[in-house]
Amino acid sequence: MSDHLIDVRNLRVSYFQEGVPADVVRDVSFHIRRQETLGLVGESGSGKSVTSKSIMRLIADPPGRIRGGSVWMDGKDLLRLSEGEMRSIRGGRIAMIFQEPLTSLNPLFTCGAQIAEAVRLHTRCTKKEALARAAEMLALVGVPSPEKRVRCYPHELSGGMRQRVMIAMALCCKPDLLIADEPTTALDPTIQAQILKLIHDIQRENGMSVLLITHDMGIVAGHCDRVAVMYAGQIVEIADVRSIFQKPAHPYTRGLLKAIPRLNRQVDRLYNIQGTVPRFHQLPAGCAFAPRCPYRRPECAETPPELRPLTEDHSVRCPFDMGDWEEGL
Amino acid sequence: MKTSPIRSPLLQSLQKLRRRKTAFASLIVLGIILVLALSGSVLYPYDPFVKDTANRQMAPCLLHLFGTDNLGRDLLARVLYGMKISLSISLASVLFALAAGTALGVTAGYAGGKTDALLSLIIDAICAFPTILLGLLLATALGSGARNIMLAIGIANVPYFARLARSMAITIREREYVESAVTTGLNHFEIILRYLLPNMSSVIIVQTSLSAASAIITESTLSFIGVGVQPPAASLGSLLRDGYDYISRAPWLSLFPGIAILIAVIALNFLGDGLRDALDVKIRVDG
Amino acid sequence: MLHSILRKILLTIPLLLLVSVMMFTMINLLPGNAAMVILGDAGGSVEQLEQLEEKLGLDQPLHVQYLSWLKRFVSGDMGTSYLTNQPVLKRIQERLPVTLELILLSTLLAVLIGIPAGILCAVRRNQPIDYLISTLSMIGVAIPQFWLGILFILLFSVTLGWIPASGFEKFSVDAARNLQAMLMPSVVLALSLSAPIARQTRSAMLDTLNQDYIMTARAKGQRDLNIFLVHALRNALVPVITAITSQINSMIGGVFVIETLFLLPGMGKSMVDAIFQQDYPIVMGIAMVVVSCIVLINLITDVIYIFIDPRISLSKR
Repeated sequence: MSDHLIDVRNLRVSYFQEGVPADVVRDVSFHIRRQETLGLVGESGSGKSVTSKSIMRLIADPPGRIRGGSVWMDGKDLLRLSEGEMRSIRGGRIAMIFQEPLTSLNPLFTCGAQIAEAVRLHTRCTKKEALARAAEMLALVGVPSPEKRVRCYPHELSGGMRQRVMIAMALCCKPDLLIADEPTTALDPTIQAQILKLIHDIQRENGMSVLLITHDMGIVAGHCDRVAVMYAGQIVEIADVRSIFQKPAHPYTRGLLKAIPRLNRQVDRLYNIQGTVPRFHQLPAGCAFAPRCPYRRPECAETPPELRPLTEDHSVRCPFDMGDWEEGL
Repeated sequence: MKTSPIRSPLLQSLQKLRRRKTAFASLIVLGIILVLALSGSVLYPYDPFVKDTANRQMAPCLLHLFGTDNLGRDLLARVLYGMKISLSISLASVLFALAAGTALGVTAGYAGGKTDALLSLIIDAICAFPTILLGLLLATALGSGARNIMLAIGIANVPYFARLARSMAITIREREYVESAVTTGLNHFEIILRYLLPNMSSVIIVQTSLSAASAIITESTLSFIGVGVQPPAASLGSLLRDGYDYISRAPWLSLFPGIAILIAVIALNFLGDGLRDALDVKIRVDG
Repeated sequence: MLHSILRKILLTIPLLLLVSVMMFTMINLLPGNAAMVILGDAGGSVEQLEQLEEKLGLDQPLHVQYLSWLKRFVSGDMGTSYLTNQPVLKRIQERLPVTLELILLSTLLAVLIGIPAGILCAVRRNQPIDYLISTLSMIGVAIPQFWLGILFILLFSVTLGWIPASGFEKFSVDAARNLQAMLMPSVVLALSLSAPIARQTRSAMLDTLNQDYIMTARAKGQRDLNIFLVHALRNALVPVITAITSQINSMIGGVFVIETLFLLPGMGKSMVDAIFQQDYPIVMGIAMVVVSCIVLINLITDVIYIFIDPRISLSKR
């Protein structure tokens, strides 16, 4: 068996608007190794959330639909499992936490009840045992006085505490993969660091893999082993974290890196990639990034580039090498 | 190249409305109803009041499309006439509610404090009266008739407008441009006129359409009970009341006026829904 | 929680007082009316009229009349009918069961039709069944209750001859006939009430199903049916209960006109009759009972909200 936990191949997802499909995820392939953290980076609307939800088959149909590709896990294609088999995977082997801890918890049930619900869906136990397990999990994720918090409603907790509850809920069945969809975007910077450290610590203890979705290159640098950069529904570059930061091969990745504020460098203004993400209904014929690319050439607008390998662990969706760029300037 | 002219908000809304097919269709239906109801005997040859004893309770036929009533009057002519009366009553009462309710709500929301508490209590108290009960009570106090049910329906609709206007006034009052207007020395009346009312107009237009629909139903109900429009005048409700006595021999008298009510109410509701989408208004639909 | 419930109860007292003042003023706008009604069409001498007015307290200023009425009302004395001399309270006690039966039957039916229909629409959104139910409920909202009643009478009594349009009997005397007489009125009222309930249930459910916590529940591996019944329905319950209670107004209006149409001897018909007979104590008594009930029901729903949604007692002061 390979060390790949998850293999996503040629994933294609469309959203239908008044009957017209728009491909929001196009030909996305990547793998997640056991125990590693893969970062999925991109601007909002680049398709990173849709990709992660597709792995768990959580795309609401209508309006969305997975129209092609496969997601392999232990020799099985998750996209072809029955709904019942898929349910035992969700929350059992793959768990997910979301961006907005306030709205992701049901306001009418206590935190304990919501964690216990997840426990009881995947293990045989009584309500009482499940609640005890919920308190245990809360203690594990660093919620103070967990016995009391079990009986709290979500609105009685702070944002950081709620996200801890979400993590407890996701981890209660010891999943192999945790998908964290911008888990810290809605939180204060200090809380952000705590939550990310928590995820990291648990990952090391349990030996699970993490798919970390973010738009923050700083978080990527600190927490990911490998990175996939998405743009307009496609992966434009995928590599180990060192290569991404030291030898970025795609102009978009370069732009993202330039946009990070640095303490040791004096800048007048933060770098800003010109233009906006194209609408999925009006994608350019050639490279999707061409209209915003500072190094574009006439041929970029005509043929869509393929993902090509640079090294064993580094692929890029741009036919030109670093040196060629400088010429184009 | 021609530059596109700046469109007025009204025109823009109309164009948005046009894209919503059902709402636009209901606007056309309402137009047709209005023209038919107002034109009276110009377009349709029969007089709603002329009795024709030779042709009593005639079933619908080519000569009398909706048949005739127990006195031989043409039912289609009477339905058109009744529609005119029903629409006028509903429109007048809703306009009353709009004026009184908006004034009440803006005052409460803008003034705040004790004035708000008192006015809100009054609004709540009016709300405790079901419209039909209010109509019956006013009929007891002032006597039956079109004018009094108009007043009753108007009063019963005041809370809807008042609550909308109040909450809008409260939110708008706190916006910066109103604050800056206060500092530049505009007086309260000018602020309300210049800033509050234009900002709440779309919400109120939508409520007007929806209230007019329910007002038609209330009017017909009160007239059916017998405290509404009195003969010789007739509304769609009183036509149904008159026709009900002959339900086994002349069922068409119980059918056509009801269908007319249904069409008018559906059209007004659709128009309200369409306007809500076109003007991008969020109204909570509850008591 | 207890504090906010108590606060709500205390707030209803000024509301009820204001309502009674408004009602009293409305009914007594025309002074002298009452005495003339009692003396009847034959009339009477001016002295007789004045004597009677004095006896009824009608010569007092309005606020004195109100206070003495309020004092008697609170102690359970609602006056006597001008026409039959029957105590108003007794008349209400006689007629209330009929009206309550009608209200309970039709509300129950309306909820049983409206809520499942609304949920079905939300679950099968933009599918044929949704369009069908949505169209029907749109018509249901636009149809006057009394005309729906007329249509029922026309179809089931006049044309098919299945059920007579009237013929009420007390439940204790003849249960079968009582239910037969109640069938059409309550179905008519229920259909008319279920339309707005279905519409609001649909939109409340759709709203809830779009929430993030539904996604969380699915990500846990919960089955769709449980998501609907446990996570979505309870959250949609507050707007649905609002939808049901917001129909009180239309329900009471419906009781007046449906009782009159189907000749059911309930409070509604009693009130309509009293209005035409200008029997003011009956009108005032029934109106006061009806309005108090509405205020009470609103109070009860506010309290129910506090129990359903733990956030309400905090956010609404």
